[in-house]
Amino acid sequence: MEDIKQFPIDAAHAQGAGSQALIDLVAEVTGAVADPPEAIECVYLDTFDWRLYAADSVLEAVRDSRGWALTWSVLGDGRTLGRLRADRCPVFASDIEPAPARARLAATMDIRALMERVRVRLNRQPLARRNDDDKTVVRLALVEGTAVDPETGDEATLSARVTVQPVRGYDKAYDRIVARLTDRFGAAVETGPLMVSALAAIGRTPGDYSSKIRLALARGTPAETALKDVCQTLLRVMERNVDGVLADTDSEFLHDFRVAVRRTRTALTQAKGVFPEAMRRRFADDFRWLGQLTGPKRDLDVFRLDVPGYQDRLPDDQAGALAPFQDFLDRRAQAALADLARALRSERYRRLVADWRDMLHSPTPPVDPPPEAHTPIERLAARRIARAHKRVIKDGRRIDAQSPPEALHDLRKDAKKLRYQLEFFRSLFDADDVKTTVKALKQLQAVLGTYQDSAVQREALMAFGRAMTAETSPPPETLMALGTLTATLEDRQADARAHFAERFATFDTPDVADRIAHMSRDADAAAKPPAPPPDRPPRAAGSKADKKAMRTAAASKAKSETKAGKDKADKTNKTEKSKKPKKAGKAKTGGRR
Amino acid sequence: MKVLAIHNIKGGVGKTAAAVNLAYEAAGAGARTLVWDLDPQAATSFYFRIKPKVKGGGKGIVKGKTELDDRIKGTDFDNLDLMPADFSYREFDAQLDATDKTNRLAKALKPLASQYDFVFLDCPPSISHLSENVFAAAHGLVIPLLPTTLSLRTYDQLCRFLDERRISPKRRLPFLSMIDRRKTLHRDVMTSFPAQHKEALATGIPYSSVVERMGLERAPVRAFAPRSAAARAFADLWDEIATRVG
Repeated sequence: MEDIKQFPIDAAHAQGAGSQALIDLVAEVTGAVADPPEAIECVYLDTFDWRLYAADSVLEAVRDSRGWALTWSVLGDGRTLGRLRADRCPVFASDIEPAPARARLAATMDIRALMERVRVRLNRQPLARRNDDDKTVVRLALVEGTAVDPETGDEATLSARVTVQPVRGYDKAYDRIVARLTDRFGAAVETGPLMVSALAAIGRTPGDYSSKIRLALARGTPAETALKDVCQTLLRVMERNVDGVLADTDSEFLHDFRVAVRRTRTALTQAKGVFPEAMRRRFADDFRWLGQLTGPKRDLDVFRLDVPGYQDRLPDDQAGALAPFQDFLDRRAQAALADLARALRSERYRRLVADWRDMLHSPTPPVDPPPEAHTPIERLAARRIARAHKRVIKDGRRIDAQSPPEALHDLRKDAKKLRYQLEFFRSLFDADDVKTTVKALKQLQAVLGTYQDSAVQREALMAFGRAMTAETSPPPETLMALGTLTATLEDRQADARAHFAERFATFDTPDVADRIAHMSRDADAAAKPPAPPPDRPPRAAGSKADKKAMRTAAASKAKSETKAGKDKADKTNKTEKSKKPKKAGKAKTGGRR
Repeated sequence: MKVLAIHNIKGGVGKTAAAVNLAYEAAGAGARTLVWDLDPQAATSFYFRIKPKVKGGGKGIVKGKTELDDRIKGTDFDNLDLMPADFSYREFDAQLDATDKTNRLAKALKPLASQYDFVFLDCPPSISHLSENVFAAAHGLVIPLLPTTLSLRTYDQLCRFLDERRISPKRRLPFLSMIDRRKTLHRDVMTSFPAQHKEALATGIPYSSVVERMGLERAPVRAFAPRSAAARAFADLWDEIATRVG
């Protein structure tokens, strides 16, 4: 199917797209007939992280007398994926009336909420080219309009244009009309879909947020500068999510916020000897505080997301038994959100962010800089990654069937730290080395995550059961259903434990060890003066330099590939991370402080 | 993808009106919908202002993806496409007979599964080798019936035929069409038919000059008479069918 073609109307014809002269002109050129004009006000919806856009689609909402009419269509050719209705402008798929397309839309959004991304007011003059049966064979329209930023209310004009849309099975008529319009108005332009041009008009780019770290660090950058870069990126993620956290738009704002906090804490650990120690400690303390205060709400969010899945796992005669539990969680989540909001509006938080930003933008102290401040980042990174890898291997090898749960929990934290460092610094190393290591590590993290999460959720379920009984005396069915779930979680935990050795073995391999060692050699080679002594055969140094060039090329290629596969990767990432009741577990299993 | 066949042994029972209007309702509700005009009289194609294909052999039907794709035409309505009638479908039956297989149509539909949520088959009236293929391919048989003795007898005939082929009564969706409430017989049948046939749909389509006007307007009823009783009836009928096959 061919795309919708768009022809900009140049100044000579721009008496306004609604003018009769222009309509007549287009009708004369194309042989199309004007239908009644339309004034359209629509809103483009997408999730905060642009999941619909990433899936090559747009969702347009128009308010009418019966509520909201939604059109979900393909970004490129405008083909309709589904027409849907809702009583209010939808936030979640459950706000939309049931229809075949709803399930597909829900799968694309996953657990994220829809938000208004841009509003558009359009004056649209439709025209149809019809054949001798009075059948429409090509659709045209003259369009002009205004884009409105939903956050600020700022307005921007959209340039007038003629759009041409083919009808399936009538390609020849479409080709003829495109040719005639090209003769008259010049070549069609790639202005892209209306949503994209409307977003551009208000200064936004679709896909401008991702929770993934996409940092391009340059080799030779002083460690201090590079770590500040990493932390600035993470601070931006935190700040972009904070409104959504406070509004509780969906669970993922807080999730992304927390991950950014946790990554910042890992970065601060890396900053030992790079940032001035007293300051580093102060921020490490503050970010630990921040991590802790987001915990209770997140734990409840995880449960709330899981309840429908739990319900499915229960036998039919216990259907509905979890409703009181859901209510209980909702009440608790409200209270937890209020606490969190108070903290995020507190003086301590405000000062933390302000001081942190100042610190990240201030120059290196010229006198007496910390010992590692000027170390090239790749060397520091390689060293720290090697150390984190060693630690995972050492701790992991000690684990046997008799090891206490804490041992697995500590290993999980070791693995997470290694993973974050690989993500921060991936642009500095051979893309293949990083990819292979991360892939093996992910498998290990998955099994450790399941193990730990099942344990924590089981304990939390029991605690909730007790709290509910004390508060509301729930029906026995509810408590029994919680009991059934506790048993399921116990099985899941045992299962994860049984698979641990096998998963650890896929990470504890000579190949992964080689990759890590290679990163170090690579970083050392880059830091050494490149010219070989003239009396020695140039093989070693020359080949190293070549290799490095090749690797840098490979790295940047891989980066663009990563970007393309971002949606998928994001999703995998989410599922893996979405079940993460961290803090409760930490306290109970005596995690490192 | 769900396949719904609109079928009756007898002609002139409002079969094509049902195909056109139900497909329009399905598309309007957001489902990607295709109507396949299998009737050589090409009435459905006519209603959508699309010319039936005259050239080419009906054996194309079993040829596969590219040929099917090339033939599909967009209607004037969103989400609603049409596979136009082919005059050579007259020979199609004979060709299918030669193969003696009843799964040819189902096979031909397979490549469309990713493109459509609903396919409506507008079938020629009769029981033939083509209809056997239709029965094998369809998830639901939508059967319009006049509220008259003769029409109901043909339904019993059809049921015996379907029973022999072990096509479950659950897949049969008969409804009363062209109901004239002024006629005693029609009113009687409206109560007796559902009582005797559990599978009967509750919604009936009233006799209406608006439905006849489809031939002049060349469009589904709701597109030109959105407030008419017939338009509402087709919408209700579609809701009921969608729930049943959903």
